[in-house]
Amino acid sequence: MSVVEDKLKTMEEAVKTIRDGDHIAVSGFASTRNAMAFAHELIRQKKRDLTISVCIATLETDMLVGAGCVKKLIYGGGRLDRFGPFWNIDRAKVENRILVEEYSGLCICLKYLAGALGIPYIPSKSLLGSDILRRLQETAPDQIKVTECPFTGEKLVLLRALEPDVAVIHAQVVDREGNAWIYGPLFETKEKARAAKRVIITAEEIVDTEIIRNDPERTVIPGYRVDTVVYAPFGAHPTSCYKYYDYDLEHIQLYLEACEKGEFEKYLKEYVLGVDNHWEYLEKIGGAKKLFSLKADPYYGY
Amino acid sequence: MGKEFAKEWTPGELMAVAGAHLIKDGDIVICGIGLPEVATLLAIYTHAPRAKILMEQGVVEPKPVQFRRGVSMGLADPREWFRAKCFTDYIDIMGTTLQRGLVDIGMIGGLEVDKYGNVNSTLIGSYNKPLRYFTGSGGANDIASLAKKVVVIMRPHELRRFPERVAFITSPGFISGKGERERVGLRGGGSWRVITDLAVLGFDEETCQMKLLAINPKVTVEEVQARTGFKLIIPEKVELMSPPTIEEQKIIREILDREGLYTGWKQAAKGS
Repeated sequence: MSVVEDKLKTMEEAVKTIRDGDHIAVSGFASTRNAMAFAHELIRQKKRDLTISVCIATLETDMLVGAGCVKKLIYGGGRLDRFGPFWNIDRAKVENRILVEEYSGLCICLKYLAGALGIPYIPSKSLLGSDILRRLQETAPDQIKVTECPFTGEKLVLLRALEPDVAVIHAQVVDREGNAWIYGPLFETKEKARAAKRVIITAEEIVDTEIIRNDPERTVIPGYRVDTVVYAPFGAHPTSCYKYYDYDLEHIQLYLEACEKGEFEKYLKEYVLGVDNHWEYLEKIGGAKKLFSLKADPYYGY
Repeated sequence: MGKEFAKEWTPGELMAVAGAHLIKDGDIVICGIGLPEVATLLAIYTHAPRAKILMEQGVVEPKPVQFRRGVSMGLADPREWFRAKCFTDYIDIMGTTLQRGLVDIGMIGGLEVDKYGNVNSTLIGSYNKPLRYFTGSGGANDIASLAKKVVVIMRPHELRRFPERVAFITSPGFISGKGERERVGLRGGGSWRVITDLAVLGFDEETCQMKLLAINPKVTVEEVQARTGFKLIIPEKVELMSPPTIEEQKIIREILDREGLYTGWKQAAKGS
């Protein structure tokens, strides 16, 4: 007989486990598979002084920065694809309202990989000769070193490992134990989940463990690495979730316009602080009619 | 294969064709969306069917689509992932393929490029006094550091985009001259071509400074120099950029850029 551990919690309970000052690796890649429902709840629970890390900045990152939850951002750059820039992040940087460690995409992935492997640093051949390196050497000298390889003598950039307190990953499918199926390209999902001390999975669907056992090759994060499971259908809205739904162009434009015009607070009040939970949010953004209009075509996956 | 050229074309189509012609059959190419992708796929659809297109988010050899509910918004858009041969991850593309030294051509864009082919996609203003931040690196620094050849796509070709020295080196070209890449320990070949709406530029082997190679048939060498913020090396013989063949244009307009988002053909057709 096997026992299936039940790690299912509500979003409110899962977010309560986050402490002020925690380092969270967030889920998405630009405008896809963001753990938006989780980010909304972080904002509602007024979490502060968070460190956020991610390979390519995401909508969840921009919203958390705008809402004042973030003290430090560790990332590899990025914009909200062709939708527009990340106004909150870019402005917070100019006004020095957040601490920033900005690398390249590969370097962030390698930093997670080092954390995942339990080694203190990892060498890379990126960043050499760039002002990205120069700025990091000035502002975060304890995180990066340039040295010579002890074997070949060639120049190397040494990147300090990242070990987030929590990785929050939005998945398409998960069971109560946390075995998570993720569809589409994986970005740095595997590395950040394995680098983190705790993993929270939010998912579109919760299935029986026997379903997972039928197709274990789909499991990207095995349950034994996962601490908490949260049911969050349309939990990536307004970003896309491959094979489940498309991005919500209308809502993303509304968000970007609000940010550009300096009305982010108004957006936040209306769509995040003005609702009690994710279910109310889904009603607020248009309910069943809107959600069905975004549903993915199984052939295209969007 | 007939080499009949299209009678009318846009600067964007000229750039796509110039980019495509840089790709050899069998090349492994990393690129983002926009003109780099149109150029890469154009090569694959014409003279380089065995070239491979890779994308940093972990997508191998897709056939991106621009139909059914709108156009592709970026690498994160599943429209870009359509019909791929493999879904993998960032480290697999940018680490075990790019850093491993297997990428023949990497294509990047940016805000500015300078005479040594350094690219800035991070900020405007200056290193110490940024006025506004932009995208930063993403995969651009990795590509510029590690690809065998780097193609920079930059438009419009104007003074502020071609300064003597970029405000911030996001992606290093030859940094401050010959031998600098080797001195700092960079492996890749560095900036190889810059493609703009006015010209195709390369780099002088001795000085590593930007050199004019070909111009848009509708402009003059003087105009290109006038819109460049440093003195270009101008060889005696400057080629003309090749207009699209009828076949190339058909592929651009019917498959790769149906809405004219990147090459502007639909908008130009409306305007005339």
